[in-house]
Amino acid sequence: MQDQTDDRTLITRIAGQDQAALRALLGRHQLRVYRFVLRIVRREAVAEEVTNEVFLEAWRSAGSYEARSSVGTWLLSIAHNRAVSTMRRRREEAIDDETAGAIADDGDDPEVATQKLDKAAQMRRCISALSAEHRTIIDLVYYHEKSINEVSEILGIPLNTVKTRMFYARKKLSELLAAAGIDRGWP
Amino acid sequence: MSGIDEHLSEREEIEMLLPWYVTGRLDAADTARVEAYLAQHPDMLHQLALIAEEQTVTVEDNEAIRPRLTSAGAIVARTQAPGSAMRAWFDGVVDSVKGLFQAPTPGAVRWAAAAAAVIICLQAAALGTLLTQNTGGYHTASRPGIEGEQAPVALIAFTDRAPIADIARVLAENRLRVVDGPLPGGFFSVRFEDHATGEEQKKRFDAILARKDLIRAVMTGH
Repeated sequence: MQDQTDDRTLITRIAGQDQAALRALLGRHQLRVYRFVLRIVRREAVAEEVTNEVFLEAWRSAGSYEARSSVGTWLLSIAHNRAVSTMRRRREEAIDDETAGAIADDGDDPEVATQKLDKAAQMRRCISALSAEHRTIIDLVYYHEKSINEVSEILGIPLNTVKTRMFYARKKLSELLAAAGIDRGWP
Repeated sequence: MSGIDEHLSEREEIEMLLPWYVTGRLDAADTARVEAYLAQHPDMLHQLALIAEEQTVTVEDNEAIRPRLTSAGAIVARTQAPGSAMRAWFDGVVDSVKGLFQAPTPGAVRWAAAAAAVIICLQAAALGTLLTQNTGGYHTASRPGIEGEQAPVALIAFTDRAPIADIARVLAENRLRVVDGPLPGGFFSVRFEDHATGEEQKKRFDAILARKDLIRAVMTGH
């Protein structure tokens, strides 16, 4: 709660064009925003630039921040919008499909795949093979530990869609693991 | 408590909530609902282990990312692009002043603010001494290692009925930028955006003080 209060104070100061406050905000959130963006755009240079744009937008629009959500959630919401529009511009969705196909092929020989990779590594690989939508929601829930309401705000989707999307992301992950020879007993 | 879909079974609805139950981000009503279901259906406990496993890998995956980050200094430098600064400043003033006027001010808070204002006055007097010492004129504070433009040069309080747009205009006309606030007593720290001489700065403060309809108080080194 203290962090949230401090974050809001920083935004108020940024609205007054306090550059020291922007530096402090970067110190607190830049890495998490970068990781979130990188997992969507998958290119370090692109993620770096999108992250910069997120904080420049925060600088410009701090005066309109309404404190309905935490500053971290607000920044991730900006980050998601920018990352998705960047992806659209670069038409990189096709790369996701190619990667997913490659993973499915690995599943043709589950015994060999299991020998090559331990379970955690397999899961890491399968998460990476999920669609951008599914990867993003898994990151938001598991790594950023966002609530249903917060995910809804960041992604701009209804609460029920948040729940079903997470459910199907997990289901798809289990299917990919099963194809790689790891049966988790669910679904 | 969240409703999901009336066509889903209770089991499916609970399954959908489990990730947030494991991360501790479920509201109290849904947490109770999940726990009640798990107590009656222990076979679903297996799911919690799967989710914990998924979370561990996801966290490790994220933490393993080597950051390729632009320095804060480079990003801050980009905030000074033409047009960006003035817009952000104006929005900041509007937002800060709006917050001040919308804040409730019960009697006790007013007295606390008044007491704080006295402290602010003392601080302003000390600031004023620093600003004018050795020169007899009006200069922004500066010392090695600190950019002079970062130092506030005055504290300003606005009247209760001052329209936000008018405040923004009068500050802009006099090239003043809000750098902090609202402070106790409703004051804002301001500094000049240009390199006006001491005499020019004094003229501008006089012009601001003349706007009694907008300005409640100005505290400078003069």
